[in-house]
Amino acid sequence: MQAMAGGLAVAAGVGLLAAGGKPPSRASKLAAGGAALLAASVVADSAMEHYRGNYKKPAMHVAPIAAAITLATAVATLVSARGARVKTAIFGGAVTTGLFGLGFHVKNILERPGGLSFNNLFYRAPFGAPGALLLAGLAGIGAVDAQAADTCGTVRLRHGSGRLLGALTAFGLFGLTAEIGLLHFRGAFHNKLMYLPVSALPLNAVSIAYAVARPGCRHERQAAGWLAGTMGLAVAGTGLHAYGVSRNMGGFSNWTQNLFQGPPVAAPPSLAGIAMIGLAALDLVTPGSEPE
Amino acid sequence: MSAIASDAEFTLRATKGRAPNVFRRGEWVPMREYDENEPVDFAIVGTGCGGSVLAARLAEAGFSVVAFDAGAFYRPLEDFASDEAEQEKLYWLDERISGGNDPLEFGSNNSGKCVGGTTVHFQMVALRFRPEWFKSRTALGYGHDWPVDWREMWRYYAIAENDMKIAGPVRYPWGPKRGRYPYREHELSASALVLARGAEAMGVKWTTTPTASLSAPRGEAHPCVNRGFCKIGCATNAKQSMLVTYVPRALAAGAEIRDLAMVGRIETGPDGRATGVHYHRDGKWRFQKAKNVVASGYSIETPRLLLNSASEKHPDGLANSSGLVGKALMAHTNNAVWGIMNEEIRWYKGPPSLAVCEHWNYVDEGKDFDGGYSFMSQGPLPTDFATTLVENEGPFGADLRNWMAHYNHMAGLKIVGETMPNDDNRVELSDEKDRLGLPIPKVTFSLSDNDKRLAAHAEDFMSRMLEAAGGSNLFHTASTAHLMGGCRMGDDPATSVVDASGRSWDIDNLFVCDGSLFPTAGGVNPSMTIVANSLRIADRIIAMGKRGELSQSAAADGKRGA
Amino acid sequence: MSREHLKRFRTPYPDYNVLAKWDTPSFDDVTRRVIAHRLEHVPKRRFLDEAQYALLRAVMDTVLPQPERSEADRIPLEALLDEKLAMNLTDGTRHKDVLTQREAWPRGLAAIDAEAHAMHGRGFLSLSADERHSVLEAIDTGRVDGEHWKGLVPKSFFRHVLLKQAVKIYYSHPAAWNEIGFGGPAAPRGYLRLGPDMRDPWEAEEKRRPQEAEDLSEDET
Ligand SMILES: Cc1cc2nc3c(=O)[nH]c(=O)nc-3n(C[C@H](O)[C@H](O)[C@H](O)COP(=O)(O)OP(=O)(O)OC[C@H]3O[C@@H](n4cnc5c(N)ncnc54)[C@H](O)[C@@H]3O)c2cc1C
Ligand code: SF4
Repeated sequence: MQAMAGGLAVAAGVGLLAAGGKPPSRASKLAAGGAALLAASVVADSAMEHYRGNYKKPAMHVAPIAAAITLATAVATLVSARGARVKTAIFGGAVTTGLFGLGFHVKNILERPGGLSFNNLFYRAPFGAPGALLLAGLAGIGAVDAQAADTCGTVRLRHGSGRLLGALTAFGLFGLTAEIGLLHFRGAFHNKLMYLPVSALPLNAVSIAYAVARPGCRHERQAAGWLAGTMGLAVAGTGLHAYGVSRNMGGFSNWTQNLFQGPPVAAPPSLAGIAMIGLAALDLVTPGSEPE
Repeated sequence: MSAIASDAEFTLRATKGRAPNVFRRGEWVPMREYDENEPVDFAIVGTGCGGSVLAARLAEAGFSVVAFDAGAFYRPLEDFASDEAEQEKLYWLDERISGGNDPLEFGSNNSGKCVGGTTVHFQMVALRFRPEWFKSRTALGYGHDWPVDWREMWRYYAIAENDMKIAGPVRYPWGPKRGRYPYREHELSASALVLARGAEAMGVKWTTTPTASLSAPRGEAHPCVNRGFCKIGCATNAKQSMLVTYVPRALAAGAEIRDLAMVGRIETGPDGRATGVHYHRDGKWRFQKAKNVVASGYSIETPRLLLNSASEKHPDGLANSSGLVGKALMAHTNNAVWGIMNEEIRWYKGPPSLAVCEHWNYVDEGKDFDGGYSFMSQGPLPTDFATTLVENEGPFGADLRNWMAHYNHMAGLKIVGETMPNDDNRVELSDEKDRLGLPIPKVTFSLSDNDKRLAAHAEDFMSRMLEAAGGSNLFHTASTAHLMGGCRMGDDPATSVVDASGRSWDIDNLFVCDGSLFPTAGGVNPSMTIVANSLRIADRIIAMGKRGELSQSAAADGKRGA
Repeated sequence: MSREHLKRFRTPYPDYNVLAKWDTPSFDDVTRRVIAHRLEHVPKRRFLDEAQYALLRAVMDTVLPQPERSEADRIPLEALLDEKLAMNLTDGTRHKDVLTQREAWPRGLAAIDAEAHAMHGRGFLSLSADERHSVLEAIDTGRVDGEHWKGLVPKSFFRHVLLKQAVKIYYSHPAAWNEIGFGGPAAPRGYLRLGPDMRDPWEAEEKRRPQEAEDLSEDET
């Protein structure tokens, strides 16, 4: 708990540091917003899951704290273009933490009876959470990068930055498909709507990859449509997950159990985060979208 | 056990055109009712794995069906307390006289009494037989062959598992390929991990137990919350007992269920055929006319009913020309090894038997006995464990309290061990009468040398495994669980009571459909096999109806009683 | 079995009170009704006579001694057992040639008293705790005279009737759940943390290890 408070203090410091600079470009804002949403979802998820894990290992405090710092930095990036280097360093830290987290989670699974079994994949430390932190960090770096590209304004730089963010979006969407696929499979796809994200997200990934791979090929509008759909999924998914929680015994009045019992209400918003990164990428590659 | 919890044991609930809605507090579903004087197509005695499945399937096929149960009709959400003592209300507690060298314990060990039958308090382990067991005489050299082919049973297992949304592993490590379980496996509890660790140390396979408890929502039923009271009734409705699966289906399809209705006698006419059932309900004896009667009261009550229905034409009881009614009763040996673990296990959490090892069901080498056994991780509630402890080991005084203080550190492995069918193990009628004037059953049971060798093998193997998993202060306990047999089905009227369709060889409109049909016990818990077999029998009966082979051609043409 | 029984029992969960969850989602209405009844309603003696009842209490205090509890907090085993007998609650099994519960208890109690006389020259009630323990131990190990048991097998009566009924009552009581750290009622709220050494905030916290257990199997003769 003290460590948490310390982490939040650092985060607040980051916020102060960034205040007062000039407002960032649209693309940078979008990417930073995406990073913020992803980080927020990691804060909620890892705080809850590691609380469920009784914070057995001190390292379990790291994830929620790192996510909180990333969140604060992303918000700072959203409002101000100042302190690019510090921000990049902090986002780099998030990337490192995400990678370590993935490593820990793999180790946790392999050490258990059954090893790489479905039971362990279903119920043990998930890949999704550290993966989302990794994405948030990368998106943050992308946001700083996009700001630089937009400030300089050359098409080449903007396209390069857009491609990176686009690739990140596609990568994130595939990763999320795998994670959601696994967890919805655990839920036996008992509701047909559970097939929706696993079928829509890969198509969205392909469309964004296509759009950024060949800038100006007029596939941006299509990709933007898909991204809007993914946003819609985020909203609908959150609602459906909340409905899922209410279907557990005792519903919301038994929240001490049921918020954990799931489905996780904090998970679908991360879809919106990824969609925002995708929108940032499109903004950078779409002709005529340069800032004045 | 008292009116404090609910009035279900004292007040008829399935009556006046409605029956309890098991998914909601205080609510009802409409129920069709039939006239006692108008013969229904099927009068079914019992609503367990045999009776309720048959009632649902036959009603869905358009037959008129009345199913009777001696027990109460509960709504789990409001009637089931989180309390062992209270939940004894689910057991069949009417006295049975128990004799033989290894007298059986009834009640909590093997017999339920409520609408939905014994599955309302079963432990939800949902396993299939090993295919060879359906031909154990021919293929393995012991017991009797079943009059069915394993591939047919495999198909019906899949239907049963889907009807009960069994939560099972993605790949099952033993036996021929099976389709994917409809729901995914549950999270392993600490007590299940003990078995897993031990199995890996011993180099044998283990898996998450296929479990009749929801790992995801299903309709109005909530998913499992790991409260661990499964064995005394699930107040969550996650447990897929007959009460929340086939019973609602039967009602929706137009079957009538009569709760608190004890059937005392099956009446036969001058031609020797069944004409209906005498039952006691609401303080008096009544009679329901029926074109066909099905006995589904399980291995003690089904033979008891057939024997008590003796008439001039059937002096030794109904369907008993072979003399086999009540004979070859089987139980499973339920020996266990328990130990203290260093870590906290807290085995009261989650479905109690979430990990299983069927190694010795599928391996025949290195055994000095016929048959097989499976074993599972354990999670007994306090009085259940304390009873096992004192009956087997007898600690008392501060020592007893001290032993029980290790409750949260205990782990256990317990077998479901096959016993051999033996005609001397049997159900008979005693001279004593119960409060309704019905003869009290007398049950004789002795373990064979083979059964004892099997149990000894299991104890040795499991002890080594529990030790390998880190258990200390090991001790063994012996008991039995489940009932099978007593009205064997078969291909030959001389050596069986009923044929492969459950139809008695002697009376063409009298059927048996429940666990008493088992020719052999197998080394797995019986309920999925009972359900699958009942589904199979239902299809056979429906086909007979279509061919006009049923009594008075009670055809599936939608024509119903009153 | 050494003089283990003289050791005082010490719970690993001194701070745990399952009833503290009364108003939380761990308890539902039906469970509250059932437990409230168990706690508030101490049945009056109906079946046994006064002397048998006093003897029963002494036997229960030997089988499950509760020295740390006041009279008000003590789990009234004798009263709850007497009620079961009065209501003729059975468990579904009557062993052939074995007495019913209603027949077995009076006779078993009388036999225990007779053993006390045979071993110590005094009735069970006037024996010390240690002597009482030794009488029951002799019965459990079969070192007793068959004469006054008349139709009861001493060891089976002791384990399958006396101890069994005693623990069924004792471990149905919330005070007993506290001392063993049992989670108790759990509906609608069940549990989230299932792994080894994992505990939900609404479960008992182990403050010290349980005392060494005697090795039961080696104890067997
Ligand atoms: C504690 C326990 C745990 C178990 N765990 C498992 C497990 O994990 N897995 C598994 O596969 N199996 C398990 N079983 C066994 C399983 O529950 C039974 O084998 C199965 O339910 C038997 O089905 P049945 O239809 O033959 O009989 P039952 O389910 O017993 O149904 C018979 C019904 O008939 C009624 N009845 C009987 N006679 C009459 C009459 N004369 N008039 C009116 N009604 C009557 C009874 O009230 C009862 O409801 C367990 C059993 C117990 C006791
Ligand atoms: S553990 Fe699951 S199945 Fe068992 S009683 Fe609880 S909710 Fe029901």
